[in-house]
Amino acid sequence: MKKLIAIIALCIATYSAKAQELQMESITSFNYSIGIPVGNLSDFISKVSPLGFSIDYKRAITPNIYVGGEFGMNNFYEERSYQTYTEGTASISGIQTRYNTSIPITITADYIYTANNQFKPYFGIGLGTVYNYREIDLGLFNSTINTWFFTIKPEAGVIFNLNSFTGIKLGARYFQTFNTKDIDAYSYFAIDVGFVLMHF
Amino acid sequence: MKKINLFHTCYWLLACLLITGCDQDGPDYVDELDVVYTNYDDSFNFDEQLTYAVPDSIIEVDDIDFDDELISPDFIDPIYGDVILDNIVANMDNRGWQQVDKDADPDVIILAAAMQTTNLYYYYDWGYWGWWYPGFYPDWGWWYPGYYPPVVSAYRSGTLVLQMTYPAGIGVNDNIPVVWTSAINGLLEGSTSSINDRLKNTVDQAFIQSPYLSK
Repeated sequence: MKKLIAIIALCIATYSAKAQELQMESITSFNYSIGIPVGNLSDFISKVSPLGFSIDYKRAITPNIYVGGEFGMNNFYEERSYQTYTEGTASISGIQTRYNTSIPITITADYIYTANNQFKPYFGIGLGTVYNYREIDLGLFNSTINTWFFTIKPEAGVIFNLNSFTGIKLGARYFQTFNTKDIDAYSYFAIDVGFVLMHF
Repeated sequence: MKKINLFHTCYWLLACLLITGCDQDGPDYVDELDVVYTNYDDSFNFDEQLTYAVPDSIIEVDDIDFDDELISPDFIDPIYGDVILDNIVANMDNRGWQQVDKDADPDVIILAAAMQTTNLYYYYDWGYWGWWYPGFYPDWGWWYPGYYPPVVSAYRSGTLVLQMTYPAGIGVNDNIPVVWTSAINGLLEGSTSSINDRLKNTVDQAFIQSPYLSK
């Protein structure tokens, strides 16, 4: 029995070592995302949002450069205290609730340091679009704006290997959007904790 | 040893992420949905006015077609109406105004109307006030000098409209100038005492956010 266990352990170790020597073909990650509004978005909603996720898939085009795509969502929400808003001669009082949902869809290019088997730092950039849904509720009344932004997204982080094929990712993305006719440009950070699947 | 199914793992990860990402909160209590709107004619000199009259009932606006006829409208239950009217009087008195009878040539008149509809304009038929308004003439109508009232659309809600008219300022087109208005909107939910508390608070708020009414 001891021999059998030793043989199995040797096989696994050999297979893992082989996998690490192999070129990592692709990476898929499922991320929980915390949104931190900055700039214009912070003026609209200042509260950090725990409501977010992203999914990305990248394929190697050279040993360290991976290209792919990413889809995600960050929901920002804030309830303002009872206030009176005055414009000209009109005043309105109530509890205002503000929502901003950002759905970024980007193509990405990342450089991943694969020399260390346990830690894989990476940095990259993404270009794409953000579908944005903004809503202001006051009592039973609401106003909504839907718009599409162009976005640029630098990103950096590190992947901790759990074994040869899975890992945990810690990363930070910064989304910078550009002015549209409906809403001015805004930006936010997304801090991600993800589960990574590596394919060889 | 149970084999881990990668597809199922991804599926559940995705489901958890979607649920986490979409979970948003909203108002928890009915009174959090109450809204108080006010607007006024900024060319009107409120300081020069002293006396006011207010009817002893609040009309309930529905879909009556008056067609130049004097028809008595419906009124809201005094259990709610008295709270509203008492608060209007208390707020006006506290701001230095003096209540007089409608036939004692008041400087301004405050009319209160309640509506329970799903979609309505701020406007309602002038004919509703034929039963009370001093010197009522059916061809008159509303006139908002220098400002426009909003469109009010609501769902399962009630709106209380307060209008301060200026009887001496009737226009050449037989329009009654409404120099101050308030629209108070909220859900029609809760016990009588709860609704009355909300009515009191919101009527008070209409005056608090209208400092130009103070003497």
